[in-house]
Amino acid sequence: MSGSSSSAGSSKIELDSKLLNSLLSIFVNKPGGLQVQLGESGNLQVQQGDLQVGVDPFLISQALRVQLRNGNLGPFTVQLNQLQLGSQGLTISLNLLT
Amino acid sequence: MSKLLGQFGVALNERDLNTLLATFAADLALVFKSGCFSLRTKLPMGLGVTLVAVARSTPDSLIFSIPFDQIRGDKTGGMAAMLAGGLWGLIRPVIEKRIRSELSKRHMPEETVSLSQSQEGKIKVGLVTLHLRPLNAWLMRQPPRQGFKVNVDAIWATEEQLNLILDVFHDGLSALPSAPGYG
Repeated sequence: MSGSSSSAGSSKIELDSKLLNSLLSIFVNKPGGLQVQLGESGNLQVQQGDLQVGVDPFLISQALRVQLRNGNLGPFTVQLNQLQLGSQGLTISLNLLT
Repeated sequence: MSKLLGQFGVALNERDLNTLLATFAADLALVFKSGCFSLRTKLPMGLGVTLVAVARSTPDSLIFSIPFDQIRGDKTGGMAAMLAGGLWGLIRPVIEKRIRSELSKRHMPEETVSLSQSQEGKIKVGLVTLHLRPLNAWLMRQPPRQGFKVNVDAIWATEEQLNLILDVFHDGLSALPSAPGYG
């Protein structure tokens, strides 16, 4: 992992490509069904039967507010500032809103 | 047998880290500011002191240096800093007790954290060292959450943020299909 340097004051979470593919294998990919995998060049490969879709590495800079609810701790609002998918994995820049 | 899935990195800026500290660890009275942790604690005779802990990492540990000249008393102000060499003798057992209590609450081995004293340049410092090996051994002994376990690979602070890199493990994944990047 290259480290978790933040830009423009945002916090950041990073999933390296190995972890991302592992999580896709656990939660998304089904035998004989949908297969999603991050390729070595940073392409997201989606396959369902004969249909294959490749998504190029992307960078989305779009503020998106997400409410997280966790038991008795009350809701947390997270503002996602940037999503970046590439050969290194997935990087999400965010801020907690209070 | 746990299988290493990959790494998860978190970089928390000052504001977000303080929000999380205030929400999940309010009893620690810990604040992150300009790359340092600030801790308020009470000494046995009722004097409140504020300590500044500067974090640095080594491959095996996270070390918090507490410069004596930055120790501030609630009532005595700079006097606490002047007395800091002597005060450390009072402060150390208080910190040690708090650490032991937190470790005991979580059934963590005592060797996870050690305290010592050192000299950095001209300044005397107290050192609180978090040892990653016993911490990770303890983490691996914990019951998995949704099958997942983590180890701390690295943790360090910069002036703007706290960085944490975790190794993520999962139990019972022998049936994982091979994918790019699998080792």
